[in-house]
Amino acid sequence: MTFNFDVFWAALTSWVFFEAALISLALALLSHASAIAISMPLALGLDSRRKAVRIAIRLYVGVFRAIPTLLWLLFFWNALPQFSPVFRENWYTPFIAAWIALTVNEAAYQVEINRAALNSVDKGQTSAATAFGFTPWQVFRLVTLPQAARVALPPTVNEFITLLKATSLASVISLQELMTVTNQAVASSFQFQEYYAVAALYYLIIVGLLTLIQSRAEHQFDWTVERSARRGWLGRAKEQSQ
Amino acid sequence: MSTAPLARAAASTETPRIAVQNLKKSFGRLPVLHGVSLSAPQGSVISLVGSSGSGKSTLLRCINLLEVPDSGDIQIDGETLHFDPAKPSGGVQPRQIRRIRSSLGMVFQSFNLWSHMTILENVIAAPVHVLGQPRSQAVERAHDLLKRVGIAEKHDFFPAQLSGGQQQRAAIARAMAIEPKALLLDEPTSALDPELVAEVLQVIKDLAVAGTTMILVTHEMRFAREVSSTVVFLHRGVVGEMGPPAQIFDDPQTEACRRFVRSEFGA
Repeated sequence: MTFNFDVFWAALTSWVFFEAALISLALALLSHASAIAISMPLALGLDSRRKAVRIAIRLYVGVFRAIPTLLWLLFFWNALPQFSPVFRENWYTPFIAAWIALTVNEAAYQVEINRAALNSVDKGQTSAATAFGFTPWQVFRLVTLPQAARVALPPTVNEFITLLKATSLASVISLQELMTVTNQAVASSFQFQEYYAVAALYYLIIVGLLTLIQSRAEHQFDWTVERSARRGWLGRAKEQSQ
Repeated sequence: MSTAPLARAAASTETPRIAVQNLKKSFGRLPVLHGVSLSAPQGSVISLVGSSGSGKSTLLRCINLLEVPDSGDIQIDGETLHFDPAKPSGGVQPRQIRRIRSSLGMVFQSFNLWSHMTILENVIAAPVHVLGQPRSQAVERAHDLLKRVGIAEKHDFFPAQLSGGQQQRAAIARAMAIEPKALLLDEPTSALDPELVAEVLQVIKDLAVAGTTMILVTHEMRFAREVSSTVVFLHRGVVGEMGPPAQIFDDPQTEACRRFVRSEFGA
């Protein structure tokens, strides 16, 4: 059997595959954003003085890391509606279920990344801010967070790539993401090579773009290069500020 | 400017910029300050000297409230903070603590410039975010200060790109940017390579001549002698001896101070 380039090209440029790829990307972006939002207070809580708080967070991380993502997806889509009629209503789509499942799962992984990054900030940096009368929130926002973000960036992008690929698991709950659409196309045509190649290429493109953004971001975080000599996000040399 | 003493002697009737009364502080069960009192009139330069563990740095950090004293009084420009050992944080409100902090410029041994901000951003951060100054005004003043400490052309650099001496001068500019009632310097030259010490001491000396009130923890005895109006010798958490530099260094009254001076000047 030979590779049918026309089938491949038609699928690659089709709206169905493009939309499916967008759904995968959107799901990954949304899940990771909400996971980071949840993991931030959890990371701070891991160093809480209250033992009960630390144990509760450890328990959360332990449970969500031990159980496969696939099981969480099935649980949130199939089992959750049995707990409450709220989840049997129309708003509860496979996308929402996948979003919740991937968020709670990813938050457990992101906690340790955030914690390590927050703890990496030198004590002298925060005490200088405190000494000048910054409020605790200002110390966090203006000093701790930007310095921690630099440390957290590479492992976080790594997590995102893993998460993007994990969205393919949502095919089991019939979310119309990239792998679901691919499987459907294959099922009716048996043209495995062509459609798998399309899916693979989409994942490659998304991760490739992401890697590009990451290297740009790391460049922005390079605090050893004179600001005026650095380049903007779009690759243009920035205007000199003074 | 006239010759030594560099710092202006202030009239004793005037309210001191900083006054400390019977300040006590312990870390856990380890007592560090056992009731320290001192006064810094406007325009004075107070040097805190003493062997390590004598409590000099802790005293300085207590004045800035980076450490909350267990008991005693601190008076900053007439505003008195009384620390009550029976209450959490000594019974002083966080808002009041922040106001005091933002009126004192702190210079650290290891500079502690914010590494993710340019030098200019470092200097304008507190004026903009704490004092609420308009950015343009803060920037203008920052450029003046950076010129004054001799690193005007470095404003767009990050701290890591500067030498230690340049970083400490930037840190002094940052501390001056809040127009502090007094400058607190915690061993400002101890982390510097020997050849970079002089440039930082010169900046401090210039500020002293210009009438900046300063409390300085230092191991540079020759400099303390040259620049101070008062030298405070701390010994085991109390003021062992206090007086003009000539008295402390040439005619110490106590055995502990005599021994310290002898070891420091290697005589």
